[in-house]
Amino acid sequence: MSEQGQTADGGDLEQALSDLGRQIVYPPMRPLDAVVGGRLRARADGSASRPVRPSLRGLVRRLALALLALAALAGGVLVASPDARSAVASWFDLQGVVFLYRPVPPHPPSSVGAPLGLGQRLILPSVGAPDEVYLEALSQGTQVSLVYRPRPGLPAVAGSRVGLLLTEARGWFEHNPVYFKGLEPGTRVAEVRVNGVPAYWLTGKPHLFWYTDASGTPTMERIRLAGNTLLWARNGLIFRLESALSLKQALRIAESVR
Amino acid sequence: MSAYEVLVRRYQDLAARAAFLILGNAAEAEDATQEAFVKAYYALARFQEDRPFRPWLLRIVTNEAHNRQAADGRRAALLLRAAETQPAAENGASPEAAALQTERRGALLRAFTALSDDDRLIIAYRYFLDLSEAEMAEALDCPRGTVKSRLSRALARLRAMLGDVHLWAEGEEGVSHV
Repeated sequence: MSEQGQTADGGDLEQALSDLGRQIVYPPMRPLDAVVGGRLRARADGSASRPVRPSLRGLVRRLALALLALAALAGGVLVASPDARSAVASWFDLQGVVFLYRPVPPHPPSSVGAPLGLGQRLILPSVGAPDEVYLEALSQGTQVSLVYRPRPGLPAVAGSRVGLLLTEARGWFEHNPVYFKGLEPGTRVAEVRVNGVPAYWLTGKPHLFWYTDASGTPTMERIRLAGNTLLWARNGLIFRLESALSLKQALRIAESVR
Repeated sequence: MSAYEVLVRRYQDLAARAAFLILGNAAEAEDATQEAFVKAYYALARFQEDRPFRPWLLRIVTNEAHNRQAADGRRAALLLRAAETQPAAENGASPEAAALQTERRGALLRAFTALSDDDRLIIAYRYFLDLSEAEMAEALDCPRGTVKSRLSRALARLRAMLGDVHLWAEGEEGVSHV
Protein backbone atom coordinates (compact mmCIF):
# COMPACT_ATOMS: atom_id res chain seq x y z
CA MET A 1 0.00 0.00 0.00
CA SER A 2 1.29 3.40 -0.83
CA GLU A 3 2.32 5.45 2.13
CA GLN A 4 2.04 8.71 0.25
CA GLY A 5 -0.84 10.84 1.46
CA GLN A 6 -1.71 8.47 4.27
CA THR A 7 -2.59 9.63 7.69
CA ALA A 8 -1.27 7.71 10.65
CA ASP A 9 -4.50 5.73 10.87
CA GLY A 10 -4.71 4.94 7.21
CA GLY A 11 -6.59 7.91 5.85
CA ASP A 12 -6.35 6.64 2.29
CA LEU A 13 -8.18 3.46 3.24
CA GLU A 14 -10.89 5.46 4.94
CA GLN A 15 -11.24 7.73 1.93
CA ALA A 16 -11.40 4.73 -0.37
CA LEU A 17 -14.14 3.22 1.79
CA SER A 18 -16.12 6.43 1.73
CA ASP A 19 -15.81 6.55 -2.05
CA LEU A 20 -16.82 2.92 -2.28
CA GLY A 21 -19.83 3.56 -0.06
CA ARG A 22 -21.10 6.13 -2.51
CA GLN A 23 -20.68 3.73 -5.40
CA ILE A 24 -22.22 0.54 -4.04
CA VAL A 25 -25.26 -0.45 -6.03
CA TYR A 26 -28.00 -1.70 -3.74
CA PRO A 27 -30.78 -3.85 -5.15
CA PRO A 28 -33.94 -1.92 -5.92
CA MET A 29 -36.68 -2.29 -3.33
CA ARG A 30 -40.32 -1.41 -3.70
CA PRO A 31 -41.59 1.39 -1.44
CA LEU A 32 -42.53 -0.15 1.89
CA ASP A 33 -44.50 2.73 3.40
CA ALA A 34 -47.88 1.54 2.17
CA VAL A 35 -47.02 -2.10 2.88
CA VAL A 36 -46.02 -1.37 6.46
CA GLY A 37 -48.96 0.98 6.91
CA GLY A 38 -51.32 -1.71 5.68
CA ARG A 39 -49.91 -4.27 8.08
CA LEU A 40 -50.25 -1.88 10.99
CA ARG A 41 -53.79 -0.94 10.09
CA ALA A 42 -54.73 -4.59 9.81
CA ARG A 43 -53.45 -5.14 13.33
CA ALA A 44 -54.95 -1.96 14.70
CA ASP A 45 -58.47 -3.28 14.40
CA GLY A 46 -59.93 -0.43 12.40
CA SER A 47 -58.59 2.88 13.60
CA ALA A 48 -58.99 4.87 10.41
CA SER A 49 -59.09 8.60 10.86
CA ARG A 50 -61.99 10.65 9.72
CA PRO A 51 -61.09 14.12 8.59
CA VAL A 52 -63.08 16.79 10.28
CA ARG A 53 -63.45 20.06 8.50
CA PRO A 54 -65.70 22.26 10.57
CA SER A 55 -66.61 25.74 9.58
CA LEU A 56 -64.31 28.13 11.36
CA ARG A 57 -66.51 31.16 10.93
CA GLY A 58 -67.34 32.66 14.24
CA LEU A 59 -64.66 30.72 16.05
CA VAL A 60 -62.17 33.55 16.12
CA ARG A 61 -62.60 34.89 19.58
CA ARG A 62 -59.80 35.98 21.77
CA LEU A 63 -59.54 34.21 25.03
CA ALA A 64 -57.17 35.37 27.65
CA LEU A 65 -55.24 32.16 28.26
CA ALA A 66 -52.01 32.18 26.29
CA LEU A 67 -52.45 35.78 25.32
CA LEU A 68 -52.01 36.83 28.90
CA ALA A 69 -48.61 35.26 28.98
CA LEU A 70 -47.56 36.98 25.83
CA ALA A 71 -49.03 40.26 27.01
CA ALA A 72 -47.02 39.99 30.17
CA LEU A 73 -43.88 39.57 28.12
CA ALA A 74 -44.73 42.39 25.79
CA GLY A 75 -45.43 44.56 28.80
CA GLY A 76 -41.80 44.33 29.61
CA VAL A 77 -41.88 42.40 32.86
CA LEU A 78 -40.64 38.88 32.98
CA VAL A 79 -39.22 37.21 36.01
CA ALA A 80 -36.85 34.58 34.86
CA SER A 81 -33.39 33.30 35.48
CA PRO A 82 -30.76 35.32 33.59
CA ASP A 83 -29.86 32.27 31.59
CA ALA A 84 -33.34 32.19 30.24
CA ARG A 85 -33.27 35.74 28.98
CA SER A 86 -31.73 35.37 25.57
CA ALA A 87 -33.56 32.15 24.88
CA VAL A 88 -36.93 33.61 25.71
CA ALA A 89 -36.21 36.86 23.93
CA SER A 90 -35.14 35.15 20.75
CA TRP A 91 -37.92 32.66 20.99
CA PHE A 92 -40.59 35.30 21.05
CA ASP A 93 -38.80 37.48 18.54
CA LEU A 94 -39.74 40.52 20.51
CA GLN A 95 -37.80 43.59 19.54
CA GLY A 96 -37.13 46.30 22.06
CA VAL A 97 -38.74 44.48 24.93
CA VAL A 98 -37.27 45.22 28.33
CA PHE A 99 -36.85 42.21 30.58
CA LEU A 100 -36.50 42.75 34.29
CA TYR A 101 -34.82 39.89 36.04
CA ARG A 102 -34.72 38.81 39.59
CA PRO A 103 -34.08 35.40 41.12
CA VAL A 104 -36.74 32.84 40.55
CA PRO A 105 -38.55 32.22 43.83
CA PRO A 106 -38.64 28.70 45.24
CA HIS A 107 -41.18 26.47 43.60
CA PRO A 108 -44.42 26.35 45.54
CA PRO A 109 -45.40 22.88 46.67
CA SER A 110 -48.37 22.91 44.32
CA SER A 111 -46.31 22.77 41.16
CA VAL A 112 -48.68 20.85 38.95
CA GLY A 113 -46.56 20.88 35.82
CA ALA A 114 -43.30 19.63 37.33
CA PRO A 115 -44.07 15.92 36.89
CA LEU A 116 -44.52 16.47 33.16
CA GLY A 117 -40.81 17.00 32.57
CA LEU A 118 -41.26 20.40 30.99
CA GLY A 119 -37.88 21.80 31.95
CA GLN A 120 -36.97 24.86 33.95
CA ARG A 121 -39.83 26.70 35.56
CA LEU A 122 -40.50 30.38 34.93
CA ILE A 123 -42.90 32.61 36.83
CA LEU A 124 -44.87 35.28 35.05
CA PRO A 125 -45.98 38.19 37.23
CA SER A 126 -49.49 38.08 35.89
CA VAL A 127 -52.66 37.35 37.67
CA GLY A 128 -54.81 34.69 36.16
CA ALA A 129 -53.63 32.41 33.43
CA PRO A 130 -51.20 30.86 32.92
CA ASP A 131 -50.44 29.36 36.29
CA GLU A 132 -46.97 28.18 35.39
CA VAL A 133 -44.53 28.70 32.55
CA TYR A 134 -41.66 26.36 31.74
CA LEU A 135 -38.61 26.92 29.64
CA GLU A 136 -36.89 23.86 28.24
CA ALA A 137 -33.65 23.75 26.28
CA LEU A 138 -33.91 21.51 23.25
CA SER A 139 -31.04 20.24 21.17
CA GLN A 140 -31.87 23.12 18.85
CA GLY A 141 -33.51 26.16 20.39
CA THR A 142 -35.88 26.43 23.27
CA GLN A 143 -39.36 25.28 24.09
CA VAL A 144 -41.77 27.21 26.25
CA SER A 145 -44.73 25.58 27.95
CA LEU A 146 -47.63 27.43 29.54
CA VAL A 147 -49.53 25.41 32.14
CA TYR A 148 -53.10 26.19 33.17
CA ARG A 149 -54.77 24.60 36.13
CA PRO A 150 -58.29 23.26 35.78
CA ARG A 151 -61.01 25.84 36.25
CA PRO A 152 -64.60 26.30 35.23
CA GLY A 153 -64.74 25.68 31.52
CA LEU A 154 -61.30 24.08 31.58
CA PRO A 155 -61.62 20.54 32.91
CA ALA A 156 -58.62 18.58 34.10
CA VAL A 157 -57.04 16.23 31.61
CA ALA A 158 -57.43 12.65 32.80
CA GLY A 159 -54.57 11.52 34.96
CA SER A 160 -53.25 15.04 35.59
CA ARG A 161 -53.97 18.19 37.51
CA VAL A 162 -53.59 20.27 34.37
CA GLY A 163 -56.43 21.91 32.48
CA LEU A 164 -54.46 23.07 29.48
CA LEU A 165 -50.88 22.94 28.27
CA LEU A 166 -49.73 25.22 25.47
CA THR A 167 -46.23 24.48 24.19
CA GLU A 168 -44.29 26.43 21.60
CA ALA A 169 -40.96 25.70 19.95
CA ARG A 170 -39.13 26.74 16.83
CA GLY A 171 -39.78 24.46 13.91
CA TRP A 172 -42.13 23.59 11.13
CA PHE A 173 -43.92 20.66 9.56
CA GLU A 174 -42.02 19.54 6.54
CA HIS A 175 -44.68 17.14 5.46
CA ASN A 176 -48.39 17.40 5.66
CA PRO A 177 -48.95 15.83 8.03
CA VAL A 178 -45.66 14.91 9.65
CA TYR A 179 -46.76 14.14 13.14
CA PHE A 180 -46.84 10.69 14.62
CA LYS A 181 -50.28 10.58 16.04
CA GLY A 182 -51.12 7.46 14.12
CA LEU A 183 -48.58 5.50 16.06
CA GLU A 184 -51.00 4.04 18.53
CA PRO A 185 -53.98 1.97 17.49
CA GLY A 186 -57.09 3.98 18.24
CA THR A 187 -55.46 7.32 17.57
CA ARG A 188 -57.31 9.58 15.19
CA VAL A 189 -55.98 12.52 13.24
CA ALA A 190 -58.08 15.15 11.53
CA GLU A 191 -56.91 18.05 9.43
CA VAL A 192 -58.37 21.38 10.51
CA ARG A 193 -57.25 25.00 10.22
CA VAL A 194 -56.16 27.58 12.77
CA ASN A 195 -56.43 31.11 11.44
CA GLY A 196 -56.27 29.70 7.94
CA VAL A 197 -53.15 27.60 8.39
CA PRO A 198 -53.24 23.79 8.39
CA ALA A 199 -53.58 22.22 11.80
CA TYR A 200 -54.01 18.73 13.14
CA TRP A 201 -56.48 17.58 15.74
CA LEU A 202 -55.35 14.44 17.51
CA THR A 203 -57.47 12.26 19.70
CA GLY A 204 -57.18 8.75 21.06
CA LYS A 205 -53.86 7.52 22.32
CA PRO A 206 -51.23 9.79 20.87
CA HIS A 207 -47.71 9.70 22.26
CA LEU A 208 -45.39 11.25 19.76
CA PHE A 209 -45.35 13.58 16.82
CA TRP A 210 -42.78 14.64 14.33
CA TYR A 211 -41.62 18.04 13.20
CA THR A 212 -38.55 19.69 11.74
CA ASP A 213 -36.60 21.76 14.25
CA ALA A 214 -34.84 25.08 13.74
CA SER A 215 -31.76 23.37 12.32
CA GLY A 216 -33.79 21.41 9.80
CA THR A 217 -33.43 18.16 11.71
CA PRO A 218 -36.46 15.87 11.90
CA THR A 219 -37.37 15.75 15.56
CA MET A 220 -39.70 13.57 17.54
CA GLU A 221 -41.57 15.12 20.43
CA ARG A 222 -43.74 13.59 23.10
CA ILE A 223 -47.30 14.59 23.87
CA ARG A 224 -47.35 15.24 27.61
CA LEU A 225 -50.99 14.77 28.52
CA ALA A 226 -53.41 11.98 27.75
CA GLY A 227 -55.95 14.37 26.31
CA ASN A 228 -56.71 15.86 22.94
CA THR A 229 -54.05 17.77 21.09
CA LEU A 230 -54.16 20.52 18.50
CA LEU A 231 -50.95 21.01 16.52
CA TRP A 232 -50.20 23.87 14.18
CA ALA A 233 -47.26 25.82 12.80
CA ARG A 234 -47.00 29.53 12.17
CA ASN A 235 -44.11 31.83 11.38
CA GLY A 236 -41.49 29.20 12.10
CA LEU A 237 -43.04 28.14 15.39
CA ILE A 238 -44.71 24.88 16.28
CA PHE A 239 -47.68 25.25 18.63
CA ARG A 240 -49.16 22.39 20.60
CA LEU A 241 -52.29 22.75 22.69
CA GLU A 242 -53.14 19.81 24.94
CA SER A 243 -56.35 19.68 26.93
CA ALA A 244 -59.58 17.80 27.53
CA LEU A 245 -61.45 20.41 25.50
CA SER A 246 -63.48 19.81 22.37
CA LEU A 247 -62.10 20.69 18.96
CA LYS A 248 -64.27 23.79 18.84
CA GLN A 249 -63.02 25.02 22.20
CA ALA A 250 -59.41 24.21 21.39
CA LEU A 251 -59.62 26.06 18.08
CA ARG A 252 -61.02 29.09 19.84
CA ILE A 253 -58.03 29.22 22.16
CA ALA A 254 -55.55 28.45 19.41
CA GLU A 255 -56.83 31.29 17.30
CA SER A 256 -56.40 33.68 20.19
CA VAL A 257 -52.66 33.07 20.28
CA ARG A 258 -50.89 35.88 18.52
CA MET B 1 -51.07 8.33 4.13
CA SER B 2 -50.51 7.84 7.84
CA ALA B 3 -47.81 9.68 9.69
CA TYR B 4 -45.86 6.51 10.26
CA GLU B 5 -45.74 5.87 6.54
CA VAL B 6 -43.94 9.20 6.21
CA LEU B 7 -41.37 7.85 8.62
CA VAL B 8 -41.02 4.59 6.71
CA ARG B 9 -40.53 6.43 3.47
CA ARG B 10 -37.93 8.71 5.03
CA TYR B 11 -35.82 5.92 6.48
CA GLN B 12 -36.45 3.02 4.12
CA ASP B 13 -33.24 3.45 2.15
CA LEU B 14 -31.09 3.56 5.26
CA ALA B 15 -32.81 0.56 6.83
CA ALA B 16 -32.80 -1.47 3.61
CA ARG B 17 -29.12 -0.84 3.01
CA ALA B 18 -28.22 -1.92 6.51
CA ALA B 19 -30.30 -5.08 6.12
CA PHE B 20 -28.77 -5.85 2.75
CA LEU B 21 -25.24 -5.35 3.99
CA ILE B 22 -25.91 -8.01 6.64
CA LEU B 23 -28.04 -10.46 4.68
CA GLY B 24 -26.59 -10.06 1.22
CA ASN B 25 -29.88 -11.00 -0.35
CA ALA B 26 -32.40 -8.55 -1.77
CA ALA B 27 -35.55 -10.49 -0.90
CA GLU B 28 -34.37 -11.27 2.62
CA ALA B 29 -33.33 -7.67 3.10
CA GLU B 30 -36.78 -6.46 2.07
CA ASP B 31 -38.50 -8.86 4.46
CA ALA B 32 -36.21 -7.85 7.31
CA THR B 33 -36.71 -4.15 6.60
CA GLN B 34 -40.46 -4.50 6.52
CA GLU B 35 -40.54 -6.51 9.72
CA ALA B 36 -38.20 -4.08 11.43
CA PHE B 37 -40.47 -1.13 10.64
CA VAL B 38 -43.45 -2.99 12.05
CA LYS B 39 -41.51 -3.82 15.21
CA ALA B 40 -40.21 -0.26 15.47
CA TYR B 41 -43.79 1.01 15.37
CA TYR B 42 -44.76 -1.03 18.38
CA ALA B 43 -41.52 -0.15 20.14
CA LEU B 44 -41.95 3.60 19.69
CA ALA B 45 -43.58 3.97 23.06
CA ARG B 46 -40.23 2.89 24.51
CA PHE B 47 -38.23 5.19 22.27
CA GLN B 48 -36.63 8.02 24.23
CA GLU B 49 -37.30 11.05 22.10
CA ASP B 50 -34.21 12.85 23.30
CA ARG B 51 -32.08 10.16 21.69
CA PRO B 52 -31.21 10.07 18.01
CA PHE B 53 -33.69 8.16 15.91
CA ARG B 54 -31.53 6.74 13.12
CA PRO B 55 -29.33 4.52 15.31
CA TRP B 56 -32.34 3.39 17.31
CA LEU B 57 -34.02 2.23 14.11
CA LEU B 58 -30.80 0.67 12.84
CA ARG B 59 -30.51 -1.36 16.00
CA ILE B 60 -33.93 -2.86 15.33
CA VAL B 61 -33.12 -3.45 11.67
CA THR B 62 -29.79 -5.14 12.34
CA ASN B 63 -31.28 -7.26 15.12
CA GLU B 64 -33.96 -8.41 12.74
CA ALA B 65 -31.41 -9.14 10.02
CA HIS B 66 -29.11 -11.02 12.39
CA ASN B 67 -32.01 -13.08 13.73
CA ARG B 68 -32.99 -14.07 10.23
CA GLN B 69 -29.41 -14.91 9.43
CA ALA B 70 -29.18 -17.10 12.53
CA ALA B 71 -32.52 -18.80 11.82
CA ASP B 72 -31.41 -19.51 8.30
CA GLY B 73 -28.32 -21.20 9.66
CA ARG B 74 -26.02 -19.94 6.99
CA ARG B 75 -24.45 -16.76 5.85
CA ALA B 76 -25.46 -15.69 2.42
CA ALA B 77 -22.68 -14.66 0.15
CA LEU B 78 -22.68 -10.90 0.16
CA LEU B 79 -22.80 -9.80 -3.40
CA LEU B 80 -21.93 -6.16 -3.49
CA ARG B 81 -21.47 -4.32 -6.68
CA ALA B 82 -20.03 -0.89 -7.22
CA ALA B 83 -21.24 1.46 -9.91
CA GLU B 84 -19.22 1.61 -13.07
CA THR B 85 -16.42 4.12 -13.06
CA GLN B 86 -17.45 7.45 -14.44
CA PRO B 87 -16.35 8.15 -17.98
CA ALA B 88 -12.78 9.33 -18.10
CA ALA B 89 -13.81 12.70 -19.45
CA GLU B 90 -15.82 13.39 -16.32
CA ASN B 91 -13.18 12.79 -13.70
CA GLY B 92 -10.24 13.82 -15.77
CA ALA B 93 -8.57 10.41 -15.64
CA SER B 94 -7.26 8.54 -18.62
CA PRO B 95 -9.00 5.27 -19.62
CA GLU B 96 -6.04 3.38 -18.19
CA ALA B 97 -6.27 5.20 -14.87
CA ALA B 98 -10.01 4.59 -14.77
CA ALA B 99 -9.49 0.89 -15.33
CA LEU B 100 -6.90 0.80 -12.58
CA GLN B 101 -9.29 2.58 -10.28
CA THR B 102 -11.99 0.04 -11.01
CA GLU B 103 -9.59 -2.77 -10.27
CA ARG B 104 -8.57 -1.29 -6.93
CA ARG B 105 -12.14 -0.69 -5.96
CA GLY B 106 -12.96 -4.30 -6.79
CA ALA B 107 -10.14 -5.46 -4.55
CA LEU B 108 -11.41 -3.30 -1.72
CA LEU B 109 -14.94 -4.61 -2.20
CA ARG B 110 -13.77 -8.22 -2.13
CA ALA B 111 -11.72 -7.64 0.99
CA PHE B 112 -14.63 -5.94 2.71
CA THR B 113 -16.95 -8.80 1.77
CA ALA B 114 -14.53 -11.31 3.29
CA LEU B 115 -14.56 -9.61 6.69
CA SER B 116 -16.51 -10.95 9.65
CA ASP B 117 -20.10 -9.78 10.16
CA ASP B 118 -19.11 -7.52 13.03
CA ASP B 119 -16.26 -5.90 11.14
CA ARG B 120 -18.41 -5.39 8.07
CA LEU B 121 -21.18 -3.82 10.11
CA ILE B 122 -19.02 -1.29 11.88
CA ILE B 123 -17.24 -0.31 8.69
CA ALA B 124 -20.54 -0.08 6.83
CA TYR B 125 -22.05 2.11 9.54
CA ARG B 126 -19.16 4.53 9.37
CA TYR B 127 -18.28 4.68 5.69
CA PHE B 128 -21.31 3.41 3.77
CA LEU B 129 -24.19 4.71 5.88
CA ASP B 130 -22.33 7.79 7.16
CA LEU B 131 -23.16 7.37 10.82
CA SER B 132 -21.32 9.61 13.24
CA GLU B 133 -19.32 8.09 16.04
CA ALA B 134 -22.07 8.99 18.49
CA GLU B 135 -24.70 7.37 16.29
CA MET B 136 -22.59 4.26 15.94
CA ALA B 137 -22.30 4.04 19.72
CA GLU B 138 -26.10 4.20 19.95
CA ALA B 139 -26.63 1.72 17.15
CA LEU B 140 -24.13 -0.75 18.55
CA ASP B 141 -25.14 -0.06 22.14
CA CYS B 142 -21.60 0.46 23.35
CA PRO B 143 -19.44 3.39 24.52
CA ARG B 144 -17.83 5.65 21.95
CA GLY B 145 -14.40 4.48 23.03
CA THR B 146 -15.37 0.93 22.15
CA VAL B 147 -16.62 2.09 18.78
CA LYS B 148 -13.24 3.67 18.08
CA SER B 149 -11.26 0.62 19.03
CA ARG B 150 -13.56 -1.80 17.20
CA LEU B 151 -13.47 0.31 14.06
CA SER B 152 -9.72 0.61 14.28
CA ARG B 153 -9.31 -3.16 14.56
CA ALA B 154 -11.73 -3.76 11.70
CA LEU B 155 -9.79 -1.35 9.49
CA ALA B 156 -6.54 -3.06 10.43
CA ARG B 157 -7.98 -6.44 9.40
CA LEU B 158 -9.26 -4.97 6.15
CA ARG B 159 -5.86 -3.44 5.47
CA ALA B 160 -4.21 -6.76 6.12
CA MET B 161 -6.53 -8.47 3.65
CA LEU B 162 -5.71 -5.92 1.01
CA GLY B 163 -2.04 -6.80 1.37
CA ASP B 164 -0.04 -4.73 -1.06
CA VAL B 165 -2.97 -3.47 -3.11
CA HIS B 166 -2.46 0.23 -3.69
CA LEU B 167 -5.68 2.11 -3.27
CA TRP B 168 -4.23 5.00 -5.23
CA ALA B 169 -1.20 5.11 -7.39
CA GLU B 170 1.55 7.56 -6.60
CA GLY B 171 0.53 11.08 -7.46
CA GLU B 172 -3.15 10.40 -8.15
CA GLU B 173 -4.54 10.53 -4.65
CA GLY B 174 -6.94 13.23 -5.71
CA VAL B 175 -8.71 11.17 -8.33
CA SER B 176 -11.12 9.48 -5.98
CA HIS B 177 -11.45 12.46 -3.70
CA VAL B 178 -13.72 14.35 -6.07
